Amino acid sequence: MTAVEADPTEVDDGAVIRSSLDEPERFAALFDRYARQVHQYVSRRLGTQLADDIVGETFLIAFRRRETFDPARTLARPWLYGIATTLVARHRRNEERFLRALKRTGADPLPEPVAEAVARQVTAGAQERALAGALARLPRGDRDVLLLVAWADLSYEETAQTLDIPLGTVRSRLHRARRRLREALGGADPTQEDN
Amino acid sequence: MDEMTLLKELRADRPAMSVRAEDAARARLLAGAAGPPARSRRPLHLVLGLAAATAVATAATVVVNAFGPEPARDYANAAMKIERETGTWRVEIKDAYADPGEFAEAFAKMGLRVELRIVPVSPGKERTIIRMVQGPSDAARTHPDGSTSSWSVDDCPAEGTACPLAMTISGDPGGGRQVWLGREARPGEPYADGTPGLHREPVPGLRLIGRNVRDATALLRARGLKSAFLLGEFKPDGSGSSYGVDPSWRPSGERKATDAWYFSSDTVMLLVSPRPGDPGPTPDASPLGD
Repeated sequence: MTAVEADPTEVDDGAVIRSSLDEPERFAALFDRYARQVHQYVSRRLGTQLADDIVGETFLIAFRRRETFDPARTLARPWLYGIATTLVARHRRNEERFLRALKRTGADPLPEPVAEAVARQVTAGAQERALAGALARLPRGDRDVLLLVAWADLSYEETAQTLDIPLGTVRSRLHRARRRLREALGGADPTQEDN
Repeated sequence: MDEMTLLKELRADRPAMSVRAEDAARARLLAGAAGPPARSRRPLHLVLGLAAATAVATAATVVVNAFGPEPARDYANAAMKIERETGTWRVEIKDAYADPGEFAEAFAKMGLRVELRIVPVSPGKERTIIRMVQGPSDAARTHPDGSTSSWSVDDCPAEGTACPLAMTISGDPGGGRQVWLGREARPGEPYADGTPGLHREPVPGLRLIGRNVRDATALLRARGLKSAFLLGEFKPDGSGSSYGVDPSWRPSGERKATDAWYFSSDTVMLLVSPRPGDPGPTPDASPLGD
């Protein structure tokens, strides 16, 4: 019986993916690096249960498509978030329904394990409810950009790679989305600079 | 507090991924990685025992010695027949469409860790090994002397009544291997060896590469061929990337086909450079269809 462990010197995602072409088990290193991050992001959009499912599917799709990973890239994060975001899009109506319910009732209806749900009966304040309503009304592309930046902590460049759109489109979508959030919150400074 | 700060706090206390969910996701990766690669654009480099894809973090077993204490001298099942001679194995395929598990079983009975897949290939590639991947890294440890093996597929006589698909393995096959052996494709069946990046015109007498999509598809239609599309870019040295989209998606007619190759006997794949607004990768749906 022989054990194979990830090579700790392979810090570059691209190198991990390339090595996985001949030694598929090495792909699991990517799972270890990013599964929890991706899960956190998807969980905030769709709840724990769907996140569990989407993370599994994301890495399976990534594994199957690993030969298409651009060898010039060293980070797989945008690639993985791109797959996950596409999967999230399948549940767009659910996502918007959850957000509208949060706005309406102040209670977040995101599905989650019963034990967690009992512990988390926290009522959202007026600002959170307004934010949820504004998020629900955003066009999907704008919401993707906004939440990849705000919840996944992606840079603008990474967001552009994730969604395969130009950097300028990221900036314009983000600007528009932030303006709508500010309007929903009653803000009056729609021209504030993005960071 | 500005809107981004508020947004960053919204749902920030979601529970982390549970250990159980992580295990399940790994198991799914495992199951999918070990499954049939028929939907893949390119052959997957899977190896016998890859099952352990779940495993890097837990250093799980990759190759399991489950082949019995004493290899047989010959073995046959419904899929194949293997005979061992001194230093060689003679392999004859009885059913090229058999489940790969039956091939693996026969190899295992002979003490060999081989995952054989018999895959549809483009004309001229039949009876050739189109891919061979050495298995998990234990091979080097098992065979520190660097011993090698050779795999040769029998030629088929030009005029013959019966010509079984057969090959001879000589030397020491070492650790697990995955071997893809080409067979004739059925009409319309996707080729396992179709790939972008070669920049060779696939259809004699037709110039497709560099032509716009409208003209290229019209020319193909006139030849009775269908078109399919892949988004991506490849450099002249063959490096690059591509991804599949919903098979029903079509680029606008003025866009250029930057590469072309036979996807199957009746379909030519056209590579188109991505543009803003194009669809992203379609999860779990091969760009090439099934």
